[in-house]
Amino acid sequence: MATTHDTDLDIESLEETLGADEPSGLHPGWIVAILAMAGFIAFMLLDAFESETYFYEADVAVAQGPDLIGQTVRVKGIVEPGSVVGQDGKLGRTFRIAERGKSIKVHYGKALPDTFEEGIEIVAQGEVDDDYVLQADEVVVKCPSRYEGNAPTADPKKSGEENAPVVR
Amino acid sequence: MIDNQDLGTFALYYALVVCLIGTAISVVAGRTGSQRFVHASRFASYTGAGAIFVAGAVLMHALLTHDFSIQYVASFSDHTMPLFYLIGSFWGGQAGSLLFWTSVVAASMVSCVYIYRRSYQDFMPWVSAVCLAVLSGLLMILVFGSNPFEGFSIINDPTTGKGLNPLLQTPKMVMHPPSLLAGLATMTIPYAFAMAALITGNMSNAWVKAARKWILIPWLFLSIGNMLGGMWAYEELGWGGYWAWDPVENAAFFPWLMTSALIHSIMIQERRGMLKRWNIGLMISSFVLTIFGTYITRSGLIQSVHTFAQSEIGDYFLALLLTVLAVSLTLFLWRWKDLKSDRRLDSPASRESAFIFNNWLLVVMTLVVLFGTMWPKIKEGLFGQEVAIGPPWFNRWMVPLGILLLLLMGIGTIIPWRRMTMAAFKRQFVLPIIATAGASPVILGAYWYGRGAALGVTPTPTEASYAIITVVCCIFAITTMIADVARAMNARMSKHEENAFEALSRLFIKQRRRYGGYVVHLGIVCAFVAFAGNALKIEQDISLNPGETFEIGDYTLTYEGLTLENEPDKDIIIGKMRAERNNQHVYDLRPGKAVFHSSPNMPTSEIDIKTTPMEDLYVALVNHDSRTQAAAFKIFVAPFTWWFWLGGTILLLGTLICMWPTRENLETLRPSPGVFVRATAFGALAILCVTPLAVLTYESNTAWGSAARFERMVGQEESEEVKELTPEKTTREDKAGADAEAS
Repeated sequence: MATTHDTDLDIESLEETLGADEPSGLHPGWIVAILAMAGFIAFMLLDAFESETYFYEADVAVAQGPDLIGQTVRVKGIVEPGSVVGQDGKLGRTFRIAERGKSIKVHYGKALPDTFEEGIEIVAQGEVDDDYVLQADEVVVKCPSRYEGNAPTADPKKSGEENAPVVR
Repeated sequence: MIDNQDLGTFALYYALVVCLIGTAISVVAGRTGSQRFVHASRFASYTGAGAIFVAGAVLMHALLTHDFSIQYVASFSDHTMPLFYLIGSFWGGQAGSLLFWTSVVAASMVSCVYIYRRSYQDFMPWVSAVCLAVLSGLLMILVFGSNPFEGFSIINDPTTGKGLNPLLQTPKMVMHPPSLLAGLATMTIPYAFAMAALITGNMSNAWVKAARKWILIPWLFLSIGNMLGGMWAYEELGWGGYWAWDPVENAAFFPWLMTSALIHSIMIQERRGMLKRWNIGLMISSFVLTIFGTYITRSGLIQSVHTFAQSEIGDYFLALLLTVLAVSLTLFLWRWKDLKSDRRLDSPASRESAFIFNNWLLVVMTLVVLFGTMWPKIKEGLFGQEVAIGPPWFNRWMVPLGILLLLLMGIGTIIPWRRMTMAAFKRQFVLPIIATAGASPVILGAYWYGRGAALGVTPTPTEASYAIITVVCCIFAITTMIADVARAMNARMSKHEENAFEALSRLFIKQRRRYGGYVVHLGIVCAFVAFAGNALKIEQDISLNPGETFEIGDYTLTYEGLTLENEPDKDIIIGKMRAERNNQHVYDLRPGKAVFHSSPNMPTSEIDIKTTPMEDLYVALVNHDSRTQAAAFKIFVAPFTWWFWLGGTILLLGTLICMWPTRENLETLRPSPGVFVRATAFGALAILCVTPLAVLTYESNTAWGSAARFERMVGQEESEEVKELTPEKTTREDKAGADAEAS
């Protein structure tokens, strides 16, 4: 790439002012910039590889079998109705999250979000113990945005029960 | 008879046709310079916008009159919702939020076309063309992809709507989406100026001069929107903080970061004729990122805690994104050589260089957030395995970059333009450095021995170092600002024989962009103080029986039991707690749980937050047992969180100072709108800016911020309405819990 002498190529202009003048060919400023950028991206990639957590839907997680034990994973699924066990006034809830008929047990010892309820989609992150229970240290419930769902209709069977109009 | 559905749909189709024709007319006007076509393009802008406003008015009318024959109205409102939330449901759903976005683009286009009706005549036809083309794209999505006026067949017509989720029925949540949408929408105007400059080949600073105030508008609205969203998340159980690096949050953060860079770099172009390519590139990136953010959130491409419909809307946005990208890049490359800078950088030690480094940092921060957001999808595409990157990764990268930015903020304030000499260094830097070196240990020591040590927290060495460096950089940034303002005031006082107050106010009036910018910087410094406070945050979830005490930091909390209040639409269970420090009573806390009769399975928390500049004490009632009155709580002590909201408010007010119209600006508005309209508009914006902090302070100091507002007045406590919870009096939630336990 030919050298240009305008200040939009900021690295270049800095180099020029420092006296590193290169009449032709690829300017050292560019080489430094490209190397710095490549190093930065490589470091960021490596760090991302180290920091990432495998993300599974519940059925895919269960399909991993014993391989999942001891792994820290992030699992998405629907809280199975009737599966939530815990004592009122105490912390600690155990429940199952399911996707396409397969489910995994989750235990969470901290405060659950307000939006947590049976039948909703959640994401739980934690380590799977020897009893194949996901010991979650984070449970995230989807924000209750209303950018979803079908409109209610007069016929609840057609629109699904949850979308039926509420008569008060 | 014409009903809302027909009228609204007709208005949208009519607007689309007008905008398409208007785009063509504007292109002809731009190419030929014909005054008749220029007039016609202006007329098309007004007419297209008018049709969009009619569509908006029809939807609002349908919502207010409960026209449930429209699917959108039935989905997002019901008979019981108060007026405020009915208005909010306009943007509560996908189609309505798109119509709101389109309306804001139309409103800003009309304002721009009117204000610049006599100036920038070479740009304006092209600005109209770009705005009308963007509007055409949005209207196509509305008409063909997500029509808010879609009706039911007669058989399925419901008698009432679904209403709005109780969690979203808070003023902050009503105002958060429109602020963000307005921020994304108003980005169209400065982008249109950049495109107009590329098309006309006018590579002078004219486009920057014309667009500079329009760039502040999206930045202001994005700031308000992000702040309100953060405040809502902080006050809702389950989010626990104001920022979580969620993809949807990040989507609104990309354009904010890019625009922050642009606001700084256009100053270099204006003053020194440099960075022309960089500025056009940043402007294009900012606009593209607004559409990209909307695409990734609306298409369901990225896993997020925010729920959006995974509809064909995403495909439409992808088409819009690719079109904008292709057109912008083609024009950019076409004019690449003409965008050569007028001047070179004189020295790496100059204000220009500080601004360039600041820009690089902001762009790198955008790339880091973009990478962290997109990496799960890239990894899935490459290896077939989806992954997640959590907040720790973002914090690891963004915290040092943020601190570097803070340091540059201080340096950039006082470093001279062009080249810094040793004499200038001594004159400008020595005093702030000495002041920082002297004040930092005093302030840090005073806090640690006066308060911090009592909290009993031992942060990790990394956290402690980051916190200390952040505070030192904050002090440096403030001392540089004080030094610069003091120097300018002294100059005015000796030259114009003014007193200190006169000199200060004149400085702000004469150079409102510069000193408004300092106010914005002051806001950023306050926000960084809050970030530093996170190093000493203590968080604990605990289960207590009545009479039991719990210690967190140096607070001793005593749980006193539960009470139940019955409201017409909900039951409220209130946990009574007493907080003491050093055996002195400090607060009565009333966290609660509201169980709406309409959503008995989704109790919402009434969190009690006692906020002071020093720290927040946050208590949430998680669940309870009515028989034993045992209750679980989420409690945290968060030092300096108040400074984040203060910083946000100062930042917004600083932006308003920068945007305040000059005498010349006002001349362009004549013969209208009048003084009253301008004063009202800016007054309303100023009130909007201070409202979140005012509400937070009011809520913290009165019963309104907690479940205590549901407790009856003293003297009425023995009334039938107020009851201690007894085994006979169980709530729906308890019954549901007991059922689940039994099963």
